Order: sequence, then structure tokens, then C-alpha cells
Amino acid sequence: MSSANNHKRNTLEDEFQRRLFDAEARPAPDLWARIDHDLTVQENKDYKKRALFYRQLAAACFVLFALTGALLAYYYSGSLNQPGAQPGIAAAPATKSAAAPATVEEAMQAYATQQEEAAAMAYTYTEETATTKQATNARGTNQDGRTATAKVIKLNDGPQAGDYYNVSPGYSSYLGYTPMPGRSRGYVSGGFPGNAAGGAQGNLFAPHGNRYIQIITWESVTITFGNSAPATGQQFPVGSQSLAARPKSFAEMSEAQQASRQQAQQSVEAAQSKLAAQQPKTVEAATKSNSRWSLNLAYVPSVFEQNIGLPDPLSMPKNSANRFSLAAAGPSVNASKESFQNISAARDEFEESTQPAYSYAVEAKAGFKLKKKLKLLTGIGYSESKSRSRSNFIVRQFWTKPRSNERYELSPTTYFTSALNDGFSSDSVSVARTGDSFDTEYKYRHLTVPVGLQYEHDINKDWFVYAAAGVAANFLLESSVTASNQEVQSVNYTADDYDSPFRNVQFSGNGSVGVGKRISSNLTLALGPEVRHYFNTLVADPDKAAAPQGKPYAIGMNMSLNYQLGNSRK
Amino acid sequence: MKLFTKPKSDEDKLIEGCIAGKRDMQRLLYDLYSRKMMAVCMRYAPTSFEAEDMMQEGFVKVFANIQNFKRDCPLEFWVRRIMINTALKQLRQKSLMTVSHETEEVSNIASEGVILTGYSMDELLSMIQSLAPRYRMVFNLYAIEGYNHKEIGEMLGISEGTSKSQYSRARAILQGMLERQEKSYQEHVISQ
Repeated sequence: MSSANNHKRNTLEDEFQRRLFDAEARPAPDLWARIDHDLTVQENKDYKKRALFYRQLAAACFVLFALTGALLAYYYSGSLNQPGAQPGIAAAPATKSAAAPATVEEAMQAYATQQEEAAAMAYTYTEETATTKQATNARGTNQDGRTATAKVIKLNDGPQAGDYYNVSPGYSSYLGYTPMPGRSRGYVSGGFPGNAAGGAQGNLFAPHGNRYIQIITWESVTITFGNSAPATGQQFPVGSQSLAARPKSFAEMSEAQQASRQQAQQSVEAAQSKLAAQQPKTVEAATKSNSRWSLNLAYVPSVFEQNIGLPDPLSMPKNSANRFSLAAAGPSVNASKESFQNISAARDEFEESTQPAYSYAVEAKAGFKLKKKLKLLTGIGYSESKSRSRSNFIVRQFWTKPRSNERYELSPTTYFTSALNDGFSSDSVSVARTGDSFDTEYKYRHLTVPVGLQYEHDINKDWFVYAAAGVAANFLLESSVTASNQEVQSVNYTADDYDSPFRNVQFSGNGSVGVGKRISSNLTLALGPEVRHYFNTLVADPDKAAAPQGKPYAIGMNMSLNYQLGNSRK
Repeated sequence: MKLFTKPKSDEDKLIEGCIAGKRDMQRLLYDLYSRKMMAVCMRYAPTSFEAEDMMQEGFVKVFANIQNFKRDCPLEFWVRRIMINTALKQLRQKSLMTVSHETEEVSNIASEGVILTGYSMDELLSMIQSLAPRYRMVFNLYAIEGYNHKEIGEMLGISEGTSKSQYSRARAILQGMLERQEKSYQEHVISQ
């Protein structure tokens, strides 16, 4: 019977099965010794894989700590060099268009002329000026950038009305925001406008309680003298963040980092010494054949919601001493009924027209496989978050000459910019409707240090699904509010601007799920939606801002390319 | 605290000892199954040297993966299955799975009434080892291990029909061998 279709068991099959199924044969005597050797090698290999894993984990932790430590050191060392700097509290914007400063300078010069008329009047050096010198010198010694200010005042033997001098950028509690980019000059003024007693006497620095002298600055921190002024270093008394705590926390962090680094080094050395005593060649082979490391490049286009509103003119900000409202307690606020209506209209318009703009983030990360499906990812990235709105309204600020009561207008700003602080204390403020509507773009650029976990599950040979979650430290590189109208001042803060109202370090959490495709044995492409939510508001101190603040977030599409070093799959 | 715990069998103790990596337990398991597994490997390998290599690799796999043994069948079956898979892998690696052209004549004699009692185990193994690798594989899996052609097709990556045809050919070759052996034996008896 030789039919190809014959597949029924027959006598032949039964006979073979009966004779051979339980048959026994004697193996070679040395076969167990060979198996024993193989098992020993296998066990050593497993041990070395585990040792290698812990070595690589220690190395990854060390790199992460070193990177984080370096960034924190960079950030805090920058802050320590500016003891008077109070991030986020500053009034507002630092830069403006090139044509704008001339108006203010002319105003100042005109005022200086007026003051020169009173120059003949005797100037009495008082105790207040002595105090002023002390205060100024104290600031000057702590601030490199402001030493020039102190020196000028000292050389003049006390500030005098009408004097110009060099100052560094900052904030004026009297003028509020008085921007003038490219300038670092200040001006000394004296007396309350309309103060007959002081004006008649011509003694601007007389030691009366209602007298004061003030250094008016462009982009500057104001140094204020007199009884009514806050003490030195307490220009923003409410909620000011003490910088004294920073060196302490940094020292603690440095110690912790040092300790963790030593531990990591010790564990690495211990692992190395153990491994050196055993088969190093096997370790090399294991390293080459099954790498836990991978490289990951991610691009995340997204829409960004900055979550900042505009203040309700009828609402009462928390800090009642300074508020941006019609009832503001500044020197004077010229709030007409029309201005009030415009504020309400500007607010409604902002809420309606503000929309997320194209934003993106790019990240380069190193991946370390913790388990078969779980991966730790960390690296560095860059994000650019944008939002935009359309407006018909601008904020106009006026300053009044103390003696002549002549008003000078500062550069118009957007309502948004003005609302980032509540120390809006120029002599008068109004919100005006412009002829043409203009666009405003809000842009925030961050350097990011992400750390996250990614879980991957195979669907089949080529496809997999993933879920990822992590946190990131976002270091603000630049923030800007750019208006398309040439007349409206645009503002731009860099990482070194200590008068920036925006938070310099921002932490965020992100989550993503999606699918991935294996392009080759080492290369995978993953795609999926990603949500990134910031843990804090963009503005450093939301309680001091007139505008309501929320936590920003971004929703995007994560596209990442992953390259597995060594063998792709274990 | 469990009041009624099932007492552990010797096999359970043996398995747990192997999972723990105890070398004496591994040696015990090897001693228990090495003779049977050697016979299995010899059926799949063309020579005894290759059978030993196959068995060595198979036992290393057994000890490396014994924690995955679900205990839903006797341990011997599981060890045997690993040996067979190792044989399949080795043969696949050596690219011996291609069908060679048999030069032997295929017997047309029906196999009913075949009695193998007169043959020693070495003779039977020698006959199987002389088959082409794929024929040998299919014959072993079907006739001795008891797999059906569908399962064999899945194991070897061939169709069920191919498995059937290859088995029929292997079977015919073995019948021819047995027939020739029978003829030569009869001639030897007549001449005496």
C-alpha cells in the first residue's frame, strides 16, 4: 500500500510506536558535565545581565541628577546674583518700539527744565538723604548691575531733583510701568504735584512726612526715599518672595545631589569590582547583544491654551493696596465712563477672540528599558507655545508733571500686558478703542527636561500600543507679547529679565497613548495624542496680577521615532 | 494558614529544586529522563553525536524554562516536547528541511502483518536515521509521537497535505527497507 492518501494508523505505526516510544538509550558519560558547564555559563550570564542592568540604571540616575543639578544650579546662581530681583512681580514689560522712548524722554527733559528753574533754590542736605545714601549703597553693593546708580548718587552727594543717572531695568512704584528699551537712564524727581508747601520752598528733600524724592526709572527698579516710601528692599511688601531662602534650599539640594552622586559612584564601583572578578568577556558580549538603551526623538505639534483672562473692572483684586481697576488707589486714575465701558468691552473681546495658536515641542531622549515592556525616558527638549487674540482696544497711560500738571502719554500697550500686574500706578490710565483692530500673539519658549515612563504592548509582530506619562521641568527662555499694530508696544522678556512677570521654572505633567509601528528591527515609529498640563500659572505670582490666572495646558499629537541600540527586541 | 494543603509529590519537589537552581536536583532530573530523551533525540538526529548535542541543548532549555512549566501534564511529556522542539530548531538551522530526492525504490507491498519483533532497537533506529531529514521528522511525529497531520503541518510550517504525502513516502521507504531485510534473511536461511 503506497497511496499518498493513506494516513490511517496501521500495524507498522503501532509496531514502531510500541518499540520506540519508550525506548531508552545510554547517553555519553560526559554529557552531564557538558550540561553542567552550560548551566554555569548561563547562570553567570544572567548574573551579569542583572549587574549590567543595575550599572546602567545607576548611570542613568547619575546623568539625570547631574543634568537636573546643573540646570538648577544655573537657575539659582542667576537668581542669587540679583538679590533685589523679585521675579514675576514687576510691573510689566520691558521693551517697546524704537520710536516710543523719545516722547517720554522729551517729557522728562521738559520737566528737568522746570526743575532747573528751581535750581537756584538752596538745597539742604538732610538726614533723609543720608538714609538714602545708605539704602542706595546697600543695594549697590549687592547688585553689580546697579552699582553705577549708587555711585552716581554718592558722587553728587545726594540725589537732586532733575538729575539724570544710569540705572538698571526695573519697576517704578510711582510711575508703574515706564518702558524704554535700550535706555538705562533714570531721573530724580521730588515733591508731590501741587504740593504748595514743598514747591514754594523749593526744597524737595525736606524731612517732612509728606515729602519724598523718587528716582524715576525706565525699565528700572525704583529707589524711593522718604517717610511714605516702603523700606529698602521692600518695594513690593505684600507676598514678596524672600530670596534668602533660596541659597539655603540650593545648598540642601547640592548636598543631596552630592550624596546621591557618591552613592551612584559607589554602587557602580562595587558592581565593576564584582564583574572584574568574573568573566569580563561575557559581559561585553551581553552588552553588545542586548542593549537596554534606545534613542528617542519626538515632535509634538499642539494647540496651547495659556489660560489667562482679563480683569473684571468691577472685581476687587486680593491686594487692595494696588489694583488695576477704576477705583485704583494710585496717585490718580482718570477713569471716565467711556473708559469703563471700553474695559468691559475689551474683556469680552479678549475672551471671545483668544484662541490657541500652533505650538510645538521637540524632545531628544534616551530610553532605558526597566522591564520587558517598560521604559524610562529622559532627555532634553524645546517647546514653543503660542496663543493669539484680536483686539480693538489699547491701554493708554499718562504721567503728569508734578509742577505744571501737564500730562504726557506713555506708549500704548495691550490690555493683556497691563493686566499682568496690579501695580499699575501711572497717574492716569484709560482704555481706548483703536481705529483698526490688531492681532496680538503671546509666545512662550521653554527649555524642557522631561522624565517619563512608557509602557508598550505588542498587538502583533509589527504593531504595538503604548501609554506614556511623565513630568518635565520647563525653563523659560523667552516670553513675548507681540502686537501687529506698530503703535502698540510689544514686550519681550528673556531668561535674564528679572522684571519678567512670568514664571522662570515651570513644572508640567504629560500623558500620551497611541500606536506604534516597527519599521525595522531597530526602528519604531509611534503616534498618538498627548496632553500636557502645567502645574502652575504662567505668571509667577498670580495673586499680584490683576488678570485672572489659570494653569495652562496643551493638547497635541505625539510623533516619536525610537531607535533601539543593539538588538531591537529582547 | 492553609489547613488542607496538598502534600507535595516528589515531582513537585524536584521541579521546585530545579527552579531554585539546585544543581543536585537538576542532576536528579537529568538522571531520571536522560535515557528516554537520548532515544528520542536519536530518532530525530542523523547520528548519535548530533543526538547528544540536541539533548545537551534540550536539557539546558529545560532547566532555564522549568519555571514556566504549568504542571498540566506529566513532566516527562513536557521535557519530551522540549527535546522535539530543539530537534526541529536544529534541523531548521541546518537547512535540512528541504526534501531530498530519494533514490530508493518505493515499495508497493502492503504493510499489513509487519512484525518488528525480530529487529533490534538499533536496527529500527538505523532505518529511521537513514530517512531524509523531513521524512524522518514527519514519520517520528506521526507514527511514534502520535501527532496528527494538521499539528505536524503547523509545527513544520507545511500544509497538512504535504505532511500526509511526505509521511506516505517515508512509510513506503521504511517498508521497502523491511522487505529487503526480510528477503535477505530468507535467502540466508535457504542457503543454509
